[in-house]
Amino acid sequence: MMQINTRKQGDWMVYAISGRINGITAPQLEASLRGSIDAGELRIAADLSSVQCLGSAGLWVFLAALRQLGGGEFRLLSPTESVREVLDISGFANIMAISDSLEG
Amino acid sequence: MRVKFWGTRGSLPVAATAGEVKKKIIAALEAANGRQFTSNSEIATFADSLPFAVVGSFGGNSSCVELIGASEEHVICDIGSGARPLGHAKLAAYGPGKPQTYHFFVSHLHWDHLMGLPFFVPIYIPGNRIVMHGCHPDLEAAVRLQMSAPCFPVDFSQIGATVEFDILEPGRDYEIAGFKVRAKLQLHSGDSYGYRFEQAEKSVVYSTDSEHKLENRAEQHTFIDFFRKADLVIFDTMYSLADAITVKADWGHSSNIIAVELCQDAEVVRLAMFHHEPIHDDAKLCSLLDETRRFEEITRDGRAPLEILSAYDGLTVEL
Repeated sequence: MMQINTRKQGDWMVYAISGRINGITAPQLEASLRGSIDAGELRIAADLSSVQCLGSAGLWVFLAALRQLGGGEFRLLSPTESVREVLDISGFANIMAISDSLEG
Repeated sequence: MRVKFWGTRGSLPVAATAGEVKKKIIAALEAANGRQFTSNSEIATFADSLPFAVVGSFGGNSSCVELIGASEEHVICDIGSGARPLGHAKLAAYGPGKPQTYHFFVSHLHWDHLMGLPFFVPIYIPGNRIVMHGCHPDLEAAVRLQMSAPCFPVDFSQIGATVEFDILEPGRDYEIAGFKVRAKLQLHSGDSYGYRFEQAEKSVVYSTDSEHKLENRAEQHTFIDFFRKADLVIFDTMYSLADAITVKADWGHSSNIIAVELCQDAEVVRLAMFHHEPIHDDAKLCSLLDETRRFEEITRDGRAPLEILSAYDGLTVEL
């Protein structure tokens, strides 16, 4: 189960995601992110502070968003401890911007 | 059934460097912490107590895995440089006077998976029978090319054993040397094939040099079916997921993350990390094993635990 709430914060579109991002839920997130990018958003942040579990399908969605944004910016915010571990183990911590706030 | 790993390294055989050996000696001396030993057996006991990265080694031979089942005929996946010590072990066990039959299942024709054949001594002994199973129509041509000038001094025509080539059809079940065997096409340059072996209600899947595209979920399901409830899946975990889908996309290999997820979904009992990146030393490979176990724990989600090991040259797994 996954829930997405979006909000504008300055020129950022923030995706507050909760639950699990896995093979079942990732397509919903992918479609939503693509919609925002197609609508012209250039700075998108995924708030992961309420994400309990992240798998490869979710990581793939993040990478796809980063690529689709081109000259824009994609950031992961405040990952939980276990999600941070997944980012480290998968090597995504080396290729994604991760911070605790949009100012970080 | 038992599975013995003779070669576990990916792409190229490697040897430990002087720097790596020195690191191990320093780590062992640090662990000894000035302790005095009164006998060689006491030293040996102390050595056995050290971590695998210090006292052991993953080894450096390229892909070669033996399946030991009920048949007297030998079953081997790939003929990487690990086939050299395998051949020596068979010669020591059976000598030249007792003809043997060896079944090789070849994943693909890249050199790290074939290079052990010229050094597999049983092929030079008359009376031995070698059967090369594979799904590549040009399997025989590749084997002959490798043992011909200028690649190798001994021509294929000069070997003493009889050699047969058996081209298999992916997706079809075969009975070979007491195993039910099925091959599956995998994504790799020039194609590769995984093999599922079943015998006496035990099953092993050998799936190396196989890239998994995250955007292709339908393809992932075909692998979940192929791995379904296997007792052991031997899986190419050469790269990190980030590398496998970015800078090393289309290089034909996979990651520990994909390995765990496919095995979890397929309800596999045990995963063997395999086809190790040649630049990784023992400490790094041990660290990757710890991380992979941690990832499995984080993502288990109420499922039965997946046992994870990292294959090393000389490891035997009892199923």
